[in-house]
Amino acid sequence: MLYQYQCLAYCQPASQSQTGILVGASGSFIHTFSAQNGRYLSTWPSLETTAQTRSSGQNNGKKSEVSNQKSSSQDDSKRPPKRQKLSPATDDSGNFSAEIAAAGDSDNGVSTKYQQPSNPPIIKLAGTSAGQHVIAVTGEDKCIRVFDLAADGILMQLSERAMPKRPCAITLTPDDSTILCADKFGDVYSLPLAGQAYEPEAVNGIDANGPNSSSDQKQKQKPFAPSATSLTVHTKRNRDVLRQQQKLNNHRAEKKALSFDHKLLLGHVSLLTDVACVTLASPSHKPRNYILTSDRDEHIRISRGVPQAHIIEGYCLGHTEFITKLCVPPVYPHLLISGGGDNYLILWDLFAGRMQQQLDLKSLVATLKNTHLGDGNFSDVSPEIKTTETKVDKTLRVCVSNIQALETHNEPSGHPVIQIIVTCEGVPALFTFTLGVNAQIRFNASIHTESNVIDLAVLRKQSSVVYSMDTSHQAFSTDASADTVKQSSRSLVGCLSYSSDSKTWKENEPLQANLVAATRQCADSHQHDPQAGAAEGKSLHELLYGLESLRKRGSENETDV
Amino acid sequence: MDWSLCYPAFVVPDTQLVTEDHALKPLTKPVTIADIGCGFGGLLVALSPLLPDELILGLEIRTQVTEYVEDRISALRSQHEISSPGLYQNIACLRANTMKFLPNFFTRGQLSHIFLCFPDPHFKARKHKARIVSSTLCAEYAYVLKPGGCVYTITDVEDLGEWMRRRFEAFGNSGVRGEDDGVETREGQGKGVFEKIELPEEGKEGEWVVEGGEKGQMGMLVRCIREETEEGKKVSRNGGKKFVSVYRRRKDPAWPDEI
Ligand SMILES: C[S@@+](CC[C@H](N)C(=O)[O-])C[C@H]1O[C@@H](n2cnc3c(N)ncnc32)[C@H](O)[C@@H]1O
Repeated sequence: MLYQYQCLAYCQPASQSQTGILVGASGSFIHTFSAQNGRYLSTWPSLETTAQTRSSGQNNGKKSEVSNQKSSSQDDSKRPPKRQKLSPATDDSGNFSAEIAAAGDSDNGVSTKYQQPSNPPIIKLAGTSAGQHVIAVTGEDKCIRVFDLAADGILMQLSERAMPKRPCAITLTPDDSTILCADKFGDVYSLPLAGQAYEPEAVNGIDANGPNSSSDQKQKQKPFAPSATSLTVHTKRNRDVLRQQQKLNNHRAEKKALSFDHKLLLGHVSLLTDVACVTLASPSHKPRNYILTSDRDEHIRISRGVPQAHIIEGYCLGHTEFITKLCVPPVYPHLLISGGGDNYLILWDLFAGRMQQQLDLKSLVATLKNTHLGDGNFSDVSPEIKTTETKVDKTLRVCVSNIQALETHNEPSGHPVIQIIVTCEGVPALFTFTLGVNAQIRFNASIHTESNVIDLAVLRKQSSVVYSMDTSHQAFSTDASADTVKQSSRSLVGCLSYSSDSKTWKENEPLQANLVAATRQCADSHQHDPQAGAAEGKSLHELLYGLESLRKRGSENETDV
Repeated sequence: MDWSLCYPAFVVPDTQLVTEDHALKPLTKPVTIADIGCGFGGLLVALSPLLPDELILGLEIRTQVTEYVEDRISALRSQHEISSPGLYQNIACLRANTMKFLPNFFTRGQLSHIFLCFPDPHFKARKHKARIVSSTLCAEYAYVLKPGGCVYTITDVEDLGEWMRRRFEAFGNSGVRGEDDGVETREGQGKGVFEKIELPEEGKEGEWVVEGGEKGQMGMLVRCIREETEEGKKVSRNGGKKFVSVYRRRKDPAWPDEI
């Protein structure tokens, strides 16, 4: 059963008077918490939304704009929603989620007692920079959902768009108007944040795909006539081609158009792992937008921003394994920090197009691991561990799972200082670094956490980070289960604040205590719900530790470089 | 990337004295021509004496084929060591999956010609990204080609030629479709990145060659890919048809802030 938060995001509304909201995805649920005091705010899907969805059988248009469960009093708002009985759906209109709900109903009478999440687990979360929308990606159905985030933390789904391939990373353009979705097939699509799936009628019409679609229709209707004849085809390979052509043609006819506005911006011949947007200012011209993409084959590409994203401006070459994460620090957007399955964090200068610095992460992880295994029993956040020369286990594999940056204070010279926080898959620690104006990263400390860190969100306004932890596996292990007694006593989240005076990270006690209590309550409320989380075993593992599987096995490597 | 092993005759003289193991010895000039999926190297060998001032690199994914081409080149080099020492020093072959690693070999605008001769058609619908021409790869070809540089394509499968043409012409051109599944609206503005060039008919290349200049060179290269590639010879022997197209890379459009 999954209670842990596989994704975290932070939303800071533009108005200074409003407090930020922490958004966490646990299985297929999204919970929101106050970033100021850590109090629980709301859960999606709420009961009414689900009921509405099932009875209307339409969750992707205006019809989904239903009022959510409001928590009126302060007292109420601390508590997760109660589970209530729900009568089985009677209307099966053929909608995807309705079908799932209906299938669940007929399968198992018991489950109808509970609210059933009709959605697969969430694999990515993002907040707009204006803080008013949350974007969630569900993997199995390849859906991108956009939510309105109210000041009281209530999420209202505005749209649901199913992508052609499984999305691996999403980001927003700097103006928040457009979602960029990088997928498993290597493509990056843009879709308007405010876009909707077309009404079903329109989808069937010829104009569903925009002004040029009718020509495609004609093309598709043209009878297939292979151009190659026995005269032109002589090799075995080319005879195969003929046969394959016929197949391809059939495939084309079957392929369905996406029923919403979207554009294919660029592509890699590799699985994409992250996407980021950067705006670079220069004295000689107006600020320019760029799109950065990273893939499973060591490449980071710099492309122009929309509408010229087909133009490649350069590459950052230097990683020797799959890349998992790109981080463009605030204030220094010409710098890029990347990490992945090799042992290094790399700092790049995007202007100069070169590697600036390479930092060894493996020795940090090894030091921490040796210390951890040495003292046998450790409980709370242990004091900082100094880097000393340690034996590095040859079989130790490091895989960066997150890199976040936070602007904290100014150097005496007036230049801003950035704190970098790095996490690795299956490692119970936050590795902290400092990036200064000299464009050098300095290691700060390894902060040992109670359990493996899963995801990380920066609370800009509070100079804090919130991290989620895996309570079901042992620290340093991605497969050995923790014993059940320990599981329930471990915290699902932690929170650190940066102190500009002492230049160190410290536990943010009140926020952490409240968040730990609130997340535990959420987990408890799911405990009696057999559908909650909906992730166990293999799918749980994939959800929490899916990055290491990007590493290539010997045979795969051979066909590359 | 240690290019000195590929083109020992083109290493900057001073650096030959450097003895450190990993010192990368720079070349006097960069590679400017790439034969992608070069197979057994027929085109490389034919081009070597025709373009003696250019460094030409064949890229091939099959290890054994790559080794064969390497042996073939070193044999040719030693055969001509006495008679004409410079010959075949300007060609080399490396193993690479060009669909993934092209930017590891060439930087922006480095190449003046790319050859895609008789590419494997890979028509498996699920593997359409395995084809050597796709909008994704057009972006990379455009990246490594200098403005004005050309991609030469030849195939004996007319549909594949058409398919490549659609991709090159549609690339970066918002007004034209030609996408992999026919339904995408693609990024781009007005004119595409590539421009299709009118070519001499088969057997008439000579008329271009005598004109000399850029046109002459193009006529010569077109004749080469028709007649000197292993696949081209095979198709001729079988009396098959060959479909040649050349696409010239335009200059990058101005940034939106420059318009
Ligand atoms: C039909 S042969 C053509 C050989 C040569 N160009 C000719 O015309 O005689 C296609 C060649 O492309 C190579 N190839 C296919 N995919 C490749 C890739 N991704 N990278 C490099 N070479 C590739 C194949 O191994 C094969 O040798």
